[in-house]
Amino acid sequence: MINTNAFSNILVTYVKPTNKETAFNMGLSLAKSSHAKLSVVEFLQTEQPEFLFFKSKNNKKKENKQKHLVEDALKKFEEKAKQENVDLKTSFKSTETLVDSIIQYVESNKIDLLIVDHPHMSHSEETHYNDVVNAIHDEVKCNMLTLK
Amino acid sequence: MKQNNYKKILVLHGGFEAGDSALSHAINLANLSNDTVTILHIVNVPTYPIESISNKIERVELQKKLHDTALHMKKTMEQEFQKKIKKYNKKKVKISLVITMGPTLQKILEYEKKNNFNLIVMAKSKGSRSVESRSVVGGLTIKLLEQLRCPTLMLDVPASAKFIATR
Repeated sequence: MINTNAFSNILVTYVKPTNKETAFNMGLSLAKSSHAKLSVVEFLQTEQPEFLFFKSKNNKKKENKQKHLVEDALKKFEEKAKQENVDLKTSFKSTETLVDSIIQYVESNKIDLLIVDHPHMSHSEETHYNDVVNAIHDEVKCNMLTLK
Repeated sequence: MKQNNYKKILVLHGGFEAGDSALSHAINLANLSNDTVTILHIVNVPTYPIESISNKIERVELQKKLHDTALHMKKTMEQEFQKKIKKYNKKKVKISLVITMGPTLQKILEYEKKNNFNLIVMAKSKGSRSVESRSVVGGLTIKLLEQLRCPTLMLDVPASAKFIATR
């Protein structure tokens, strides 16, 4: 039987940069009620450079812009967690394979609850993100809360 | 801070031990904020290619037998679940039980649509039944994940195929 006590190590992560507040608020609220550690990890999926192997100025600009946006969001989360006296660890990682990175992080940090938002967008995008969420569900070895 | 407003929790229980774990987890979550928990169990009516039987009387009899089997299963499961609910009576959580008969996916989606739940708790058990399911989550789970409209907590449970009514 699995451990049915409250969760002790919660990870909030995103498959698409939307609905950030909802997933974080849920993680914060669960972490507070079950006195758990909370981590927010933003995995930024790196895009294929315009010139295959070399990043153009535009690529670099775009990446930097995204990085700053993510860092600002993470700072806000840290402030919020501090106000609520919740132990929060934030990090930002670039990755080529989102699913693998999430699974690796879960395993190496002994996460027992993974919170993922399930974005609802256009039909084609939804099919893509359904596949990403399903792949995480298939491979991850911890409890998973999918928000909608 | 906005608290987790999971006032109505639905537990999908397939009748296996994995479902028990989902139930315990849901009750623990509900206990944090005095929420209500509903257990939903679907009994599948056994199917048989009835058209292959040429005799009409035999066909009707078989259909009746299959339906009776499902009804018997429903009663047995009701008794088993009532025993489980009694175990959790000490906690301040209101637990209700719903057992219906029919196709699993359709019945779950219908029930979820009619009742506005805030959270659905279910268990995924890898390696319980077929060789294929040892590596991937079952088809029903994936379909549910895609089609359910509310947040879903999927619990990772070690493989166990013990049916609760056989203990």
